[in-house]
Amino acid sequence: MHKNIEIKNIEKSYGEFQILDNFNLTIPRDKIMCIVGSSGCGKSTILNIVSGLVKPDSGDISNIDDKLISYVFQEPRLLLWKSAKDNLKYVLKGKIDEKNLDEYVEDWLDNVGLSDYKDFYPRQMSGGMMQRLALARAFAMPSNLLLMDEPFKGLDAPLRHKMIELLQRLWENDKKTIIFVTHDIQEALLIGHRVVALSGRPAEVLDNIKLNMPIKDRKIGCTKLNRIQGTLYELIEKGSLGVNNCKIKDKYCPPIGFDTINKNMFNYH
Amino acid sequence: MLKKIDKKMIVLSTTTFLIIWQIASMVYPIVVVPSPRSVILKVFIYLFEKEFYEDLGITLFRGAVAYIIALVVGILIAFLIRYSEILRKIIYPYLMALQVIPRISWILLAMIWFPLNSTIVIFIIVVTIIPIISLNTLDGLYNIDYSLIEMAKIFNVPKVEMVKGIIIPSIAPSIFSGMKVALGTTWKTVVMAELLTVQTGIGARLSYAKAAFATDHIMALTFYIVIVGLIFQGLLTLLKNHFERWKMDA
Repeated sequence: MHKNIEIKNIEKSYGEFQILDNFNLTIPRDKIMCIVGSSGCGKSTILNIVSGLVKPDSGDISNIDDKLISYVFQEPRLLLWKSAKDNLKYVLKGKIDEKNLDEYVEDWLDNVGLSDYKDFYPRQMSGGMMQRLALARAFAMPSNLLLMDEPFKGLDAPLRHKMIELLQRLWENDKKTIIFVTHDIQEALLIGHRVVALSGRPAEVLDNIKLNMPIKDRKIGCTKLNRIQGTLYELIEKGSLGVNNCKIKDKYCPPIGFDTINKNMFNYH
Repeated sequence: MLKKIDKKMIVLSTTTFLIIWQIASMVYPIVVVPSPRSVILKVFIYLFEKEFYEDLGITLFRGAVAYIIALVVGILIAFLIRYSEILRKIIYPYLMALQVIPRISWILLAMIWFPLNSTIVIFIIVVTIIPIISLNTLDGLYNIDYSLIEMAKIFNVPKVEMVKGIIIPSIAPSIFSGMKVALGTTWKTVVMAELLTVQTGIGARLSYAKAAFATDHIMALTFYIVIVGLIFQGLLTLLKNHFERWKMDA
């Protein structure tokens, strides 16, 4: 059992824009934490700092082994010149025993329903298939931390729901620590053990909600989930989420996730 | 496969071409327009001439040596320019200038600088195609998708694998297109340089044919130059397609 990851007093600015100002967050191990917030207000920066891609101006992150991180990006980021199988092998080489590598890769392709496409190149696949392959790559990597940056953003609604179900299933079988960044509150509720809502720049934690409902029971439209979504909406209405805390008032920092929430309200209430 | 209609068109256009050529050869003196028959005959004669193959071999050797040197040096220069700010400032202007220096200037300078042998031919080709290779490679280097490198870094992929798996496949298409242009240029340049500077090779043969007003020989030799050039372009395309299998049947 690993210790929880602690993000402590992180500061980060790009030029005059202060993205993170004394930012603190605890990421529970072997659970899925969803970070919700409007675009451009620091969610991705947090992921990039955790992954080590971006160095913070100050502050630190404890209990993290940056050699064992996997990532699912907004775009699949596959090597177009390698087949599905070889894309997985490319990141796994040297991390999985060479003798079992083929079998291991095929198992993971099977897990995401791509076993018939193992020799296909990304160009021959649909967007959903490519993102499934990216998911397989992230889970197949022997990592204890998985970062996901709006991985289903580019997909249409039915496909997105399928991907959420797939993610739920994959996590049930292999309980990695996941940080999942999204702007879609419903998505966050379907997969998060914790849902953290961020304000606009500089990002601050507005709310940190714990959801006890088992991941596998969470289905779109299930009453229990709708009730939580309703509660969350109430919270937002009361202003705990809806207040625009952004210190630089501009078009880049609208009140958090309002459009998403309103849309989902009409669909599911 | 060629369709029936395409085959018909080829036969029709070839016949028309030959007929016009035949008429022209009857109207003009043989030095200006030799008859198709005499040119085709020369083409066959060359097939059985040992010295012709020797000359062809020499020309191919010069072209190949120059092509390989320019390829290695050109790619190296591109990497230096891409990854060193100072070297870019120093080398890049020269590269641009090199691109527009007329080949004939190089030929004249090389004739003054070097003894009249293979060195001179190789030198002329190398300076002519280095900018083509370098600028194309540079294009590829600037177009590497950094997000893939980022992915590889996060997944802790070793540096060697990053070069093998991401950088090389990313720049390969640009290098190939540079290689293709450079190949055509090499072949044309080698013949021209030989014609003007040395006594061996296909180019020198052209020079002798011109001195003897043997227009039919000039045409027959040109025919072989074209055929060999096309064969090499074809081989390069096959190689390129092999490397870029992933682009096929998408």
